[in-house]
Amino acid sequence: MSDEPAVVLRDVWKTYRLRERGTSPREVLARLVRPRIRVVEALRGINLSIARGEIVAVAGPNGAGKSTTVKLLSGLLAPDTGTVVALGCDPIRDRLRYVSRIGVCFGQRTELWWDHPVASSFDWKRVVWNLPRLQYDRSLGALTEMLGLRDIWRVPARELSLGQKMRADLALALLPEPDLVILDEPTVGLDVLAKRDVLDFCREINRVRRVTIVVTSHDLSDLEALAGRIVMVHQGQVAFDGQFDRLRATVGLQRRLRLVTSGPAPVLQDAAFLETRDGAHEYAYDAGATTLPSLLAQAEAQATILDVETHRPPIDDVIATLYASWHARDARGR
Amino acid sequence: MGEPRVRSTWWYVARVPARYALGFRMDLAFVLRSPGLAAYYLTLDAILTPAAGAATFLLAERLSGIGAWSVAQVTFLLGYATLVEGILSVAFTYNVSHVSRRIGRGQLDHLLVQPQPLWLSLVSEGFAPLSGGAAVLAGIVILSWSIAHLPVMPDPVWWGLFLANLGASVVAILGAMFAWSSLAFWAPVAAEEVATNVHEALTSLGVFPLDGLGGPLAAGLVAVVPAGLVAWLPARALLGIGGAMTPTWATPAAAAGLAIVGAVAFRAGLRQYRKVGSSRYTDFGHRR
Repeated sequence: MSDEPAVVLRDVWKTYRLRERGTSPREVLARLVRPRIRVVEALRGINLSIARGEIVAVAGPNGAGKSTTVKLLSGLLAPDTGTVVALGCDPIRDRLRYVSRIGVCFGQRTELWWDHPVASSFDWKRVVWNLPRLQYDRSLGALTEMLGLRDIWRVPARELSLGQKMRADLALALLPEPDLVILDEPTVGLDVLAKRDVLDFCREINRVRRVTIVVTSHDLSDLEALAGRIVMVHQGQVAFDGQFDRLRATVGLQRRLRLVTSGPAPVLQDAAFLETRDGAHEYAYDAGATTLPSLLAQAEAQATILDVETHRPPIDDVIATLYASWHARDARGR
Repeated sequence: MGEPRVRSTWWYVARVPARYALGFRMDLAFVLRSPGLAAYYLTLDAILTPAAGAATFLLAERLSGIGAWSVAQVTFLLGYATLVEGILSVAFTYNVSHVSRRIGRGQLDHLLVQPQPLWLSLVSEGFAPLSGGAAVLAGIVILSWSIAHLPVMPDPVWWGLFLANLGASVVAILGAMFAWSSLAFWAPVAAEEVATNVHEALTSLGVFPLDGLGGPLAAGLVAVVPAGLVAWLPARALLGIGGAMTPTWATPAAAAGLAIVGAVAFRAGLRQYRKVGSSRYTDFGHRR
């Protein structure tokens, strides 16, 4: 396997021109004569490099440019300027060579044949991808074990639950043993168990085959469970690129403190009271600015402490804090 | 996984039989899974497809022909149109012929991530020979009856011309449907059903002998909405109606023109698709 990166995006720009519609009949007629075009810069000079065998999460608020990035990587969209090179190919110009080496799985779409058993979709994939029988049997055997396909093998796709459908779609994407897997919202709509199965499988396939995985999701805790590295896209630019721990550090050493006390919630300096649930009081504090013993001493002075627990805030809260700071910065810049 | 090789067009052409075999297997399994329902569906299809020409047939029967066309010749035209429709539903189902739906619904993405040229996907993905075959059978039955009652003695040359014209009619319809469907690249919502409208125009007008129409109207019904190529022009040529005025190469030539227009429009649309992608996605009708 070569050492060159699996994916390189170099100064990629993508702009959409959207025609703005009028709301009143007069405005509608006026815009027929003189259309008003809104230019949306989906990507503004994105630079990104992903090493082979890496799992990278791409996240960002709605309209940040995630979908555009995924479409560029899937060979469905061409950049306006800049270059996209994946697995040594131009995804558009070398489409046939490129797509035979990638697996694409969109969480809200299915590649399965609706009225046919799951088995038929795999047979279809074998023929269309021109997979040698030996490779097909080997890959299918491994996927059947890892994703538990046996129980859904003869079930028509239309009768599958969301989780089962996702398992089958993932297996279908992985069947040709691709070098790069692009997963767009793979856990959307899944229950906790199905989500865990999908995430475990992705980790396993990355560990066993060193498959490069690019994954997007709105569920940041899923992404943290799966990927070491996160690329945050905001307003068409890479706003953060690094490990999840470093991302947490950007908003300070945020911690949560849960106290169960004999009385009402003690008032703590240097910690913000969040809520009381099931008799436990929750606070947020910055571990860089204050210490846990000092907070506990303050609490003990006001009530008897029955139980103590500290934990890191959910990654979603970290991201929400980041988004809020970005929006505040954007508003100041306007 | 090793570095995949760049394949020649002929390599992909050679894959077509395997794709058709796959389509046959999947369709056979689909039909056999509920044979009762399949029989019901096929019977309905066998009745309803030729029924599109019932009015023409009744007129011809009542008036002992339509213009220069005898009843048997009108029946030949209807059988030919039924057969063309049958071929479309055998080889281009799953909205392959109604491609504006796939474009408008964002389903082209599914084809673009397949490691084969788009033409191969379009040629092979809609092959359902059994569930779509009833109209073919109905067309063959009607054609057989009409040929038995016509003063033609089909020899191998005639059959060759017949097949060439039949293929050309299918190509002409597809060319028109792809050309018009390409609008959906620019207006995915508004033009999502444009292929359906073109198809309806073709099936409703295609079963009439169009003789007697003025030049511009007849030209429009051959070149723009090519209803005349569904059955009228080829039937005229094959049965010698109107003498040498309708050569047997007329339909293939017109079909080639329409195929070029369809291909050019579709390629331009694809370039637009690469630029803007699809802003919407709905799975309705996709592989079902």
